[in-house]
Amino acid sequence: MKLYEFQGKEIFNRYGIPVPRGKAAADTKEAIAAAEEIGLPVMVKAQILQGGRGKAGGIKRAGNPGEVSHLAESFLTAPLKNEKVKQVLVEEVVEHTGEYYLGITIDDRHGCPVVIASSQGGMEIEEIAKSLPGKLIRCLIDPVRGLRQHEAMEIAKKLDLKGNMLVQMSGIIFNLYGLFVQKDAQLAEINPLLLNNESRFIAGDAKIIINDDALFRQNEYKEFFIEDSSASRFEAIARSKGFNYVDLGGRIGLVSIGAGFGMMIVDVIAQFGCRPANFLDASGGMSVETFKELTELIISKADEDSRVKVILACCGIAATKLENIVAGLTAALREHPSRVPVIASFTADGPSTLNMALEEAGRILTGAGISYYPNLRDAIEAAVRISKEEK
Amino acid sequence: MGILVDKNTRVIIQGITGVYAKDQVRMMVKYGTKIVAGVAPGREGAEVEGIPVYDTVKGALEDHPADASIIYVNPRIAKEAALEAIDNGLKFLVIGTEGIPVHDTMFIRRQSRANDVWVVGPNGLGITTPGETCLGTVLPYVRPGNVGVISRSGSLVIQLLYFLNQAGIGQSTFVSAGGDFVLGRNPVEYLELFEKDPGTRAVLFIGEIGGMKEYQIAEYIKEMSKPVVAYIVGRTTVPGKRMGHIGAIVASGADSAENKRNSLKNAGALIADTPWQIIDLLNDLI
Repeated sequence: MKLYEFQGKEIFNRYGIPVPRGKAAADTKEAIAAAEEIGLPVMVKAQILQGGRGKAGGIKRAGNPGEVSHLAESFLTAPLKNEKVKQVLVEEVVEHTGEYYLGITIDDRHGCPVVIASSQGGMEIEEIAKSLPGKLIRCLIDPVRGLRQHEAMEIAKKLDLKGNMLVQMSGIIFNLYGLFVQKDAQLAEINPLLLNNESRFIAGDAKIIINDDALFRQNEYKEFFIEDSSASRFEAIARSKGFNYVDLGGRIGLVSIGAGFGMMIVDVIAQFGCRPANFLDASGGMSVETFKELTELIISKADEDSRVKVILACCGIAATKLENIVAGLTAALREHPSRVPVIASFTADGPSTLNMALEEAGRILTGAGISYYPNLRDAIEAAVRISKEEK
Repeated sequence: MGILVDKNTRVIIQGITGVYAKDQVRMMVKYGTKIVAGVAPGREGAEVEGIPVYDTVKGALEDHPADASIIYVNPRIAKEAALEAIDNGLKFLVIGTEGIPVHDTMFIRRQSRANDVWVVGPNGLGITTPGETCLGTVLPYVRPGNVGVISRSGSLVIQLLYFLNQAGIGQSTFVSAGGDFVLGRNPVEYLELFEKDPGTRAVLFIGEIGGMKEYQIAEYIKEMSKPVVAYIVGRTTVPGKRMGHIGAIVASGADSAENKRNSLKNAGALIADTPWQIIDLLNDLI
């Protein structure tokens, strides 16, 4: 789960990482009140979850209440990078002489946290890595032992800092690591980390992503649950049910489970010169009800999106019971008939076929008006054919 | 032959009384896996498929010496379960659990390595040496042969093993390394073992978008003597959108399917564009 800048900064503040004085506002009135409390001029920053906000014009300076009101109004009424802006962050202006980068994320090759720092911040980390590779410091952290204060100091020293600035930086690195672990983050990033005119480091931005699998023990986020407003309507519905759905804009609605399998189907359909309407995934060990909901989601998608010409239900299962898939699929179609033809093909192995064999599944599905193909390739080709039939 | 496990591997099951675990155990017993005991706190004295259940790993091992543990507990307690196995001297773990917090997995990974413990997973189907043993999900499509199979995704490999089976291509060992971003052992570590295994003639690697593990594979292929066929999924995706697996997100461009395919190709891997091409490429090699 991604947090907004204002939420991230609230957490930074609690962890002793200096942030500019600021306040989130949901309308122009709140924005003006915040600006007056902070003292003009202020920065008005649109709150969205995507990066590249500055370049897209989402961060502006306001010198008087009229400008604050105007900026807040324009941010809150028009989407930025296709993302609805629900709040703006009104902040003091930080005059600065330097922009550093500091981030902690996970290195999947080494399977541990990595602290990344650079004296050249302000741009995307990939850009820094490309244009100034020598300016990028990477330090792997032992997740069992954690990060010690003196090690944070060693990292800060590599940024060529001295005296009080060195002490400040090592403190920020140490605190950011503490937050990273305690908040179950998979990313905690300060970019830019500003060096102001009084030689104080202060977080110019905050980007925190919490590991979804740890939300059960991160109760705080239940309060500021975030609706990803860059998500489409179907993406949002799927998310609320715990499914992973991505709109792809094509003609074949996909009902599938299993991430790798789903990606393969999407790729193969593309290789046949077609495009799926969506990617879909849900965790294994699926109940009848869950598979029914997955199917209903795609039936509704086909109802609303006239581009969708056919639904393809397929998956490779080992843990999920085949009878649950069959019952879920047929129940969904019984209660909510599909506007478009439905094609199915399953590969089931291991415990999934303890109670129902594939041949029996094929018979039941055929009886329910579904075109069942024992061979996956035949099913995909049939779906592609139908999707190409009409304009 | 094969790698890591064989018919003599003695196994305990942590979380043996769960619904999912029971099905898995039933299939494994049928397959011939030597399951000697199960663990489920508070359930000592019970039996699952004729296998005695103990409160702790320690208790189970006192009565039934074992080489490995398969962990099927709830993701919230998976870290503690893995540490219990490591603390009691087990050197080989398969973690089937899906949804373990990534910080817990990092902890398990570090602690296991410090104790020379090999961890397969989390979030995978385990490891099978066909005809000998299966530690994880039994897939009847798996058959003995000389292709080593390493997959990140579980759901995808079920389908691909079906295709291999139809084509008569068997496996020396099949490893489902896990769909999570952080794994106990990275795919490249299995590749190193397959290179040394006399029973393996070629390796099939199944990768996907997200993360940088494929680049380790590419680096190692350069110095390998055996051929590697690679199939990478996620070529059609939307940058920044997660495709199922926690790790399956194109975040930087370096982690895209196209870049991984190019890197593997330049290293000397044979790249399959479609699942069907995998079969053609392997048939030419074995």
